Amino acid sequence: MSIDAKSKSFESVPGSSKPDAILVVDNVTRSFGGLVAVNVAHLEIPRNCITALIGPNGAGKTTFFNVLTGFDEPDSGDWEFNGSSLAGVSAYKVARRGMVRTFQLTKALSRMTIIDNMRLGARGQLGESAWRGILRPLWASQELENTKKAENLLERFNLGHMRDELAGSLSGGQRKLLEMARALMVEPEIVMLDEPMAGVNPVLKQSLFQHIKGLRDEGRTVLFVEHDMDMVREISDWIIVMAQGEVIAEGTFDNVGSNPVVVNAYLGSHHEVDIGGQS
Amino acid sequence: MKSSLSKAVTFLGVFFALGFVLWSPLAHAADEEDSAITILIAERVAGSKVQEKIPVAGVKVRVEGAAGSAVGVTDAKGIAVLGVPPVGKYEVSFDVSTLPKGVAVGADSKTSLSIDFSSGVSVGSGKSVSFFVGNDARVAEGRWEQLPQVLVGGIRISLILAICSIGLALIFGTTGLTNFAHSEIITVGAMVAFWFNQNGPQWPLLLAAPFGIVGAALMGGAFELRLWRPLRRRGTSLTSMMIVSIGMAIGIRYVLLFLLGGRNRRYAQYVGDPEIDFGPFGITPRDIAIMVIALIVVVGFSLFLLYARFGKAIRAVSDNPDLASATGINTDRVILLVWILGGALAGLGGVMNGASTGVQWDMGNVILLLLFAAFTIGGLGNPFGALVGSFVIGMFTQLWTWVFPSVVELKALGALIALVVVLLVRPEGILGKKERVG
Amino acid sequence: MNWGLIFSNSVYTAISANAIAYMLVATGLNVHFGYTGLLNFGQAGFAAIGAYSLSIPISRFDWPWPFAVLLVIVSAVALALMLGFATLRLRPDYLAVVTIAIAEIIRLCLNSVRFTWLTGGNDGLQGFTGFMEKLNPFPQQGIWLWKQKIDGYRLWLLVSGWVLLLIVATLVYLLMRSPWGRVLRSIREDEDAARSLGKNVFAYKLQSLMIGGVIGAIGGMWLVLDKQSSQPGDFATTFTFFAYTIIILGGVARVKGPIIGTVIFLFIIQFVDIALQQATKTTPTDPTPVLPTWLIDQNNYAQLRFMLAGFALAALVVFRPQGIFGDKREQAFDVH
Repeated sequence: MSIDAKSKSFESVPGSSKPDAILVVDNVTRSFGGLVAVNVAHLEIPRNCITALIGPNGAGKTTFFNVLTGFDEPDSGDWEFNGSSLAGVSAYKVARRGMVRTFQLTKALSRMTIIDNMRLGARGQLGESAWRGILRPLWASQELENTKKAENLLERFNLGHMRDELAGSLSGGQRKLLEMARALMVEPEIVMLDEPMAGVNPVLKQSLFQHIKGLRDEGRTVLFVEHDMDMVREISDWIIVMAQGEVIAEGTFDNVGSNPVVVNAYLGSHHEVDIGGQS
Repeated sequence: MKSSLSKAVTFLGVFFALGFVLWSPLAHAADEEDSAITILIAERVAGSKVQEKIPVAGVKVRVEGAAGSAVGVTDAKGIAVLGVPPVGKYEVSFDVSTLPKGVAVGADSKTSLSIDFSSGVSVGSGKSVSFFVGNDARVAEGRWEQLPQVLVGGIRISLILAICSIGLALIFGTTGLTNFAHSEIITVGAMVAFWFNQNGPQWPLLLAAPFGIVGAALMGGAFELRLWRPLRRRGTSLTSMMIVSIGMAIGIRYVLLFLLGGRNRRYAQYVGDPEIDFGPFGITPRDIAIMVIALIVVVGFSLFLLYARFGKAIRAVSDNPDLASATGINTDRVILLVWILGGALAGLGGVMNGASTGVQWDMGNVILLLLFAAFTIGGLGNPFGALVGSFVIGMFTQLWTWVFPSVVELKALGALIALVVVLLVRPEGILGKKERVG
Repeated sequence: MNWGLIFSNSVYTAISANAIAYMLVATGLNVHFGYTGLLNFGQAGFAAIGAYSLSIPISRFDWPWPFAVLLVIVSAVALALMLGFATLRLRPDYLAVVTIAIAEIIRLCLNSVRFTWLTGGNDGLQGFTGFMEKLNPFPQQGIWLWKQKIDGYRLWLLVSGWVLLLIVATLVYLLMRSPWGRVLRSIREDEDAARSLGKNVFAYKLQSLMIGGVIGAIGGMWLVLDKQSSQPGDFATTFTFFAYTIIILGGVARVKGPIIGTVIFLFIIQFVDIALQQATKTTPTDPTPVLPTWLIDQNNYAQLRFMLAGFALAALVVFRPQGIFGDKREQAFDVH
């Protein structure tokens, strides 16, 4: 079954069930002071699909991301990744289980070289223990493998020629690429991208689209937050719309764009985003 | 930006040159005392509420050490000053047989003490030693009867800490800087007032104090204009600025020591006044003045922050500088005002502290950690938090000495332990907000 | 003015056992601040713990020295764990305040009359260096470094200290070049990024605190072995701030930074200090000092080195955050 056909088979209602969902969220709430930032009753993220999480500013998308990846603590709720609960699991353990995220404001490690940024991402490094770290022979061969893998990824993301530059010298768009490439070093099952297109120039954008589709073709799942509707239309298989902390709609792009609830949510927040229109 | 920094250097140069011209004749006149050991002998007697100490005259004292020795007799104030080279260790003692009739060495009194010129950093400064004879009069009073007196002392300390730490909190709130040089603003305030009170025109302290406050305010404003604003424009990180403030604090502190020597100086007024009896406790006129003025200033300043236009602007910049400047608030002006106000408050705190414990080159540094404890406990950057924190720290230090009278010297320890405990229980501070992650 | 003595004394000071102590303390701080980005303002506390873990067991309880040295390491690790659990979950600016507070708590307790039976109070402890004197292979008369005499004991401390320092510096170098060191640097750059890549940031910070703390404690131990007396006054916060000056001077997050920094720092400080001492000195034969007394005299010349150290720290951060010899690009310390 092709991916398009698969996604069309999901029910277009908030919280619809998907066969073999990779991530299942139940009753997650998070509030700051009196303001409820996230209040998701039930949500399932389909496996091996590219899912977009959209919504007007302040809808709670980034907070939701932070909660799911262990960077913020919810007031209540539970969520299961591959059938095991991630509630209360710390961020680094979430990453080790195969759920890796990027950040809205890129976190390139400025005063480290690009190749070191990449190597850092590799899993299970022997040399990351202080005792073994002193003895180079114990980890040298593994380091070589990781470096090769990192170089391949850098080539894929058009950063190969900058291998030994400091990450701080990259442009905003290149940082986004580096961050994505680095996340892939962790061999994630699901990649969570927080506004991957912000600040990326149009030329780079097209190649980024291809990379993200490539991830899906490798068998990974992608969940991303984005305001750029071109990207959402172009690459997402499934779309989830949040407003005021809640999931208000789900569906394919056309499906969601014609949903009056969604249009209202965007209009209600005074944002001029043309959903589904030609731009 | 380089030119702003060179202006900063010029400014500091002029500032210290001026200080040097004003002070150095005085400082050098004091050299003799700086290389001397001052010995006080006093008898402890029970006063109305607290123990009083009466100087004992005509007692033979001696100082012996590797570098020299000297003998002398205490004067009517119970004081003898013995000049010896300020190096190495000395044993200071007094001749028990020369005590006047009826004055006995107390059960816990010491008759000899050792002092060391080489320890610590107070090279070249004078040392003083006090011997208290007679029996400890405090023992006669019950623990619970002392409590009101202890609490009054706590309120006084808390108010002084509050006056000093509000500025620290405002500066942190608006600029994010943890200013280690705040202690030197406090010291300079106290010293400028001292100059007008004892050296220059010799005005009474209440008249001299405003000059100390103005001096400290100018110092705060000059810091902002000549150092911090240029650094902020360069995009210097907060960590770097914090380290710069540490360097400035150490440098200025030792300039002050260089110019003034290490002596503890007293204002002309409010020294040795008898206590006024209020029933369960007694307060000296000095402490009444401190508490009344501090209370007025704290309340007035809180009202200013809550209701005045500029006060609201300060709080807006503290909450969110970007938003504040987007809504048309001139953040640079607000920050400058905060430095001037913070400096003025620190100067006032310095004068009050100087009146209580004497004016000394490191008087600000001695309380700096308590101020940090106060404003951290209260929730970083929140002026009202600093107020609450100051009371927690002030009362805690006082009660600590009441509960553990045998470890009075570890007063500061109580405050620091309070700091660590509060942060473990409530990491964001008492009035702090939880940080939003991501 | 005896320039030969001034110069040779300053050179000796810059490489002496006392200098080695500064180098070790600063190396430990470099692990914390330079590589991991932890704003530890309590390094003097680690040095104090090291000093007293050596001197208390030996002079009060007659422990054999290897056990005392072991205690130095154990207690530094314990302090690191305590500091870590108390502060590492706090915001970085809290870490600075709390580490100062804990270092001061340690110093106040060591200084307290209450604990004089154990710590010797303000006078400190002496008589714990016997083992080092016994191990000394050099003859007691020592050697001359031009016009500066170095006695046998100090020479022994100097030689063994440099060997120790080289071992420590090599270990730090190997660690920082390893993937372990890479994780530390990533935490310095952005700890959330490190977390998002599956690194247990808290555990790494704790390890960093422990390793840097143990190195600092060894530095404190060397300091009191050289002084032959351990006194609380040596471990005030100024000590920590001088260590900051040293690592910024020599270059933050570079293994040789603390070593170069200490040599420059102590040379300048000592040179200024004893040159001024000579310039303000009066003798019965020559009652007028070189410098006029209205400007500076015997009683206040000693303040100048602290002024210099303080303003130098501020000026370095503003003008040369990459250190004296550093390249702007290599600067590992957050300025812009």
